[in-house]
Amino acid sequence: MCAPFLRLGRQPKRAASESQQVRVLVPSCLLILATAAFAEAADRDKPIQVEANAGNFNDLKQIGVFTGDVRVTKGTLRVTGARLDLRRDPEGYEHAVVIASPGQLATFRQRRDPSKPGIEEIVEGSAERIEYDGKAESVKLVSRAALRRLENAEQRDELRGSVITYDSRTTVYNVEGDKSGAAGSDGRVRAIIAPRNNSGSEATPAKDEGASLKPAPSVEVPKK
Amino acid sequence: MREKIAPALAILLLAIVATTSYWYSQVLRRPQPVPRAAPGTPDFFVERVVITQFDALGRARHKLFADKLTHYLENDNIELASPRLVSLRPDQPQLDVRSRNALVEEAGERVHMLGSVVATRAGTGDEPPMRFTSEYLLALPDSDRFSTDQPVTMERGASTVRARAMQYDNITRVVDFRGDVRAVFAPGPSAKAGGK
Repeated sequence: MCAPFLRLGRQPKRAASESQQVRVLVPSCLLILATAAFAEAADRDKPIQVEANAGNFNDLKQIGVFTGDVRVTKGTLRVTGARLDLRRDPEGYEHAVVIASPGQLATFRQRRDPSKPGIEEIVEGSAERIEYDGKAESVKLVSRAALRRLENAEQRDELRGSVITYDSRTTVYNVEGDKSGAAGSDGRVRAIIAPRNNSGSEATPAKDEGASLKPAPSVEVPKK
Repeated sequence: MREKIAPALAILLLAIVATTSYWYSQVLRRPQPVPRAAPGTPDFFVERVVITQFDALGRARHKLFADKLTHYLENDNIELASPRLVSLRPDQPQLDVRSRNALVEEAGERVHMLGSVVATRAGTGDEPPMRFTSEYLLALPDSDRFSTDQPVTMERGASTVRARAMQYDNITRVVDFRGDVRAVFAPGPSAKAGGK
């Protein structure tokens, strides 16, 4: 269940520091409408390249399983992990699941289509399990999920939670907290959202926050 | 005295005759040494040969073509020049394996394909053909399994997989790749059509 409000807690020390960043703590669920943050559109038409120590390919079912230091590349999208399950559905869309070895994290990195001249935007993330759905054009990070947005190698936004989904068509991130009550988890999601104007002026972070972080018109209930 | 010598002579003569005939029978019974061919010399060869093997129902299961078949008596092995092995299982797409040479062992149970090996699984319906290339391929025609411990490339449509070794089962249609696996999967038809 999502709480129908966003509780914005400003960290005074942090705000006073070099980055005008706001820490947002939202119970259970967070929706962010990212502005002009399309994933590299050309990536979709790029081949999938896989490097691994071993591979198993089922010619009949069109399923590939790769294990051992797996590196997947599709255009600017790069995913690493211990095991990759790759399949192509009858319509020709690719579906990939990358799993990290126990105790490790699978990683994900993708360059965005440039929205501002001279700024290279990178989205990188990590989780125990990373799912790519070529039909929905979405990426889902499951368990110990973290997603960061970098501009010219400088971190701007950060999301942490149990499940992070990113829909590259609607550019909507969805973050869910851990509802299982597992040890070491307080069931909350954490987000650091950088202000969207680059003036670095006296503008208060709260105002900037209001410009970029919009409470969703309809609340998306995470699937259970 | 003379009465005693005559029977003694007779016994001696008979003993000689018996011993000689026994010796001859032993000599004749001993196996004659066969003139052995020098190692590596064939005992026969056949040119432009087609071997067809049938299953229990009398259907052709595979065919083996070769420009020249050479048989070696010393180990019952067969060498083939320009061989082509075609698997003809009725419920499976046809698999065609060609190479420069081949060595057939164990009455055709193991076929070592050597040099410029190309194995092609025929395309079916909307599935493109699948092709393996390597310098060596061990074919087990009875179980329709193929393997290599040499670098191998698989091509399927515009997708390719390279590895240091592989095993392929033509009945389950599963390939196992080992060592430095490098795969490139071309985007699907929908991705091409739906691209912005």
